[in-house]
Amino acid sequence: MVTKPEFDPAFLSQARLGIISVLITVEEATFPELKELLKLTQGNLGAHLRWLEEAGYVNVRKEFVGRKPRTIASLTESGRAAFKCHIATLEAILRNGER
Amino acid sequence: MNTEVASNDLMYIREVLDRTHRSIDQSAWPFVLWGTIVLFWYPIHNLMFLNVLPNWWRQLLIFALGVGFAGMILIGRRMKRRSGYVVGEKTFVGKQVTRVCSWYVGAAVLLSVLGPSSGIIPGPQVPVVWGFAYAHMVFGVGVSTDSRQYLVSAAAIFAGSMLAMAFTQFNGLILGPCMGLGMLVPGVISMRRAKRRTMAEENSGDKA
Repeated sequence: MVTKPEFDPAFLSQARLGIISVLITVEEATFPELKELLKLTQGNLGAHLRWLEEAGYVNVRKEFVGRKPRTIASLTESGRAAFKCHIATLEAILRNGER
Repeated sequence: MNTEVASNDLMYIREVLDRTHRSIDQSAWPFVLWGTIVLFWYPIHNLMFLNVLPNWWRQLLIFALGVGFAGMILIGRRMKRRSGYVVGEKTFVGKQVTRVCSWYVGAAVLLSVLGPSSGIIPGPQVPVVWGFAYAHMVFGVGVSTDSRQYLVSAAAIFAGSMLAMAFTQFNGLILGPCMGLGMLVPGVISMRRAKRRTMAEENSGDKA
């Protein structure tokens, strides 16, 4: 009997997959940087970041540069581990064919 | 999930990773700035020593460095205001490039000061020290970014530095074009590539 692979719901959205992919490359990224790289709208990006933060995959902190607030996102250890696991699952699917 | 979806997801991840890594291309502007300065500075300096021009080398040095550092601050501020720019500098490659450049420029500054004062490097050979430092720096950038244009430029600057060492009297006239164009050309290529990529992505209406 072949067991179906379990997918982390965090990666079922391409936007969230993109956010994690950027954060795996850089230690941290600001909100405008993510928005520019992923071509997402402000509201969309904000919603997905909150989703990932609540899942414990992304750490979001706010700081002020002068009077302007700045949102900075970074990947947590569990986010990194989950991403690696997801990549391994995708590779396994491609190796074994459709499940 | 089927193989098509898995394949699409992996392709998307690769695309995002590539986009993030390649954003380093936008950070090539210091090469364009210093390349342009050196292209004119070294030959003019050389002509002063050959008595073709009035010998105002100190004023020229202050002017060239002033334009360079003011440019670094002003252009740097302007570029950082563009969204998505800074991310290139925060990548692993971006950090390696910064380390490589800091090391060679730092070493060249130290040698330019200590060399002539200790008598180990004759004063007129100081531009050659910078030539070799630039050649190694550009080579390091080429290796870090895996860009052929930097590797070719490094070879050209290195060859120019060897030639300049043999013809000390004309070293500025040799090094100016070699070092200047050796930084200017790969810098412009990198920036144009970044611009082309941005335009292509905008035109394709790529949405994540």
